Amino acid sequence: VIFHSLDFVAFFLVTLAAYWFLPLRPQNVLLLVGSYVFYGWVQPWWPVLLFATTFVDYWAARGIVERPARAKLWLWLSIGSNLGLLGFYKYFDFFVDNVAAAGAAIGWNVPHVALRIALPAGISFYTFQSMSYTIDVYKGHAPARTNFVDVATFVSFFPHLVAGPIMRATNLLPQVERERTFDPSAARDATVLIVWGLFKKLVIADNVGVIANKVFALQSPEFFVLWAGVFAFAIQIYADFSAYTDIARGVAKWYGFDLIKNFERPYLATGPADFWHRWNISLSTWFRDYVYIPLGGSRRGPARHAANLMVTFVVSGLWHGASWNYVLWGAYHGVLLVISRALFHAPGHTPSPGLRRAGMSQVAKSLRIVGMFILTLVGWLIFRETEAAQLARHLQLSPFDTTALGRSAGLYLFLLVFIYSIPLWVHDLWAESRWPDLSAAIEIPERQVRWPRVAAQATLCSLMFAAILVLRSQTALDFIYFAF
Amino acid sequence: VWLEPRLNRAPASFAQDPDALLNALNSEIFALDRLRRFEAADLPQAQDEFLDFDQQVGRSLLPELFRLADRANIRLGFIRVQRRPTESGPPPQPAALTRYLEDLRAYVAERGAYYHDDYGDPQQPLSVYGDGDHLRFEERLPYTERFARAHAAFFQ
Repeated sequence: VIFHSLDFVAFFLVTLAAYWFLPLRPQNVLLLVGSYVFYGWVQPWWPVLLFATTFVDYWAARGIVERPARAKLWLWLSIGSNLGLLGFYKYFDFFVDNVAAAGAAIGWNVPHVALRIALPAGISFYTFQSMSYTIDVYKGHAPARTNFVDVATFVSFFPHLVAGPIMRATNLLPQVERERTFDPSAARDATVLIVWGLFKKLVIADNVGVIANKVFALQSPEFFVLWAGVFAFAIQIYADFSAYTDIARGVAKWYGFDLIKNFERPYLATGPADFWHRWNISLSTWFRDYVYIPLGGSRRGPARHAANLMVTFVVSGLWHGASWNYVLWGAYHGVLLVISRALFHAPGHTPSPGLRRAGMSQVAKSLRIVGMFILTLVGWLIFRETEAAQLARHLQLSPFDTTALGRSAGLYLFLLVFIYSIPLWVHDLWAESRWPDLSAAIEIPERQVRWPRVAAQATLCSLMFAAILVLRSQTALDFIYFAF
Repeated sequence: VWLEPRLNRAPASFAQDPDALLNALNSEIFALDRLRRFEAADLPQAQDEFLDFDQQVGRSLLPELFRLADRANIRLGFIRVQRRPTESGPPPQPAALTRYLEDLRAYVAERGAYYHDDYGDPQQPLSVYGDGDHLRFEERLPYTERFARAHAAFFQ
């Protein structure tokens, strides 16, 4: 079920109406059954995989605690089964294709056995979430749960099942286990989040996504048309993915759960490290905690540190899809981070007060934001372009080798994308000025009813709802991260 | 209905002739022959060897569509809409694609389904198209009415 469908509206209203009449245990059973129905709506066999993941990790976590002598074995059973499932469904064809291509290059005829099966939606998200539970139990960060329904509800919780944010057992499981009470102020905030998410998806992402698709369908776009298309894709992927997160957070709030923020104004980042503190936060912190730090992080010298960053980002790129462009995109961001660390965090280097984030002058900060945004656009070009020859061609295009029509068309497309994205920029600039420190950007629902705030929320929702009716794209595009 | 066309037109106002720029976007920048081969709908850019219907049909969902429709006792109808034509006539179509479509028509007819091709319809000149391959807003109702009349037998 997708969020912006009548099926989901009916599903949401029916489950929600029943939910708040039930005590805790039946609430969790309802969430579990509802989540499996939600997930199996399109493909009835997908829940089988979800159940298998949950079953293995539930028993692996118990095995870690109840048989500590064999804890490592249980941990590897969990990691192996999750990565095996992911590898089979997501990377098998990619692996076979590349082995066949490599064999052909050296004259070997490798039998080509391809599965050509559809990737189950959300598998990259829930396997990572479920695996983190057993890893946290192994590390002693979380106790192994004995209640299977609670663990299964944690893994399958439908609002974020298909495209994140990836929640940790230490955060979401305690919410599953505790009594939840209906909070009208949280419900109000949740509604604003849902409407804002729908607005971002239907009005911004889908409209600019059509432009990006058209540009990337061209054989030889000129410089300005190409980069207008890349700009469109940058807006599309941010609006689309953050929309899903906002809707997921809003829906979860209606059931009394708080999901973490996944985005913090990423296009206002002042550098590569800052960008990864703001973009797909749940995934980047997952890779930080379960890949980068176990590899040694920054503790084993500059060379090892750089290698750890590169490995983490290449794997993170591959997580997005079984395609070399994602690997290259990950490597590109790894290189950006290594270079920025070498320049600004070298031993003995003391950042000047003007370059420190808090004390940076507005001019310096603005220049760094623009610079980082341009670097991010180059990354999105790598991410979006699936053909290596085309990518090489795009990167060699010159702004001086263009026609008058190409320049005008590029400017038109750029302005059109910018107009559609104005609400996104206004929101992010407002949020950045209100919460300049990311660590302080934690939403705390206001218990006290402040009518001016309620009126402002209602007005905003009405405006966004009207805009959805008038300006929604006539071409409905899937959420981009469904494909991952 | 009223806001979107204005919003889409507004960024073109920097040009001396906004209409000319918007037309050039459709007919030149995003013209069919500028699309990548794989992206070209109707396959006008595809290589001839790809346009072998008998070879392709087994890899497509078409047999499965017929199987499901047959099981559910549904009669299928296939309409091929015309992409954006040129000023002088319908969009270019290579001979291999014409053969491919004839094979498709025969395959569909053999299984009792309805088939219609808008290609070359004189009531669909370039002037009825808006953005890309889409009809202009004011042309949607007349097209729908013509469509309903032309295919009335199928819908009964």
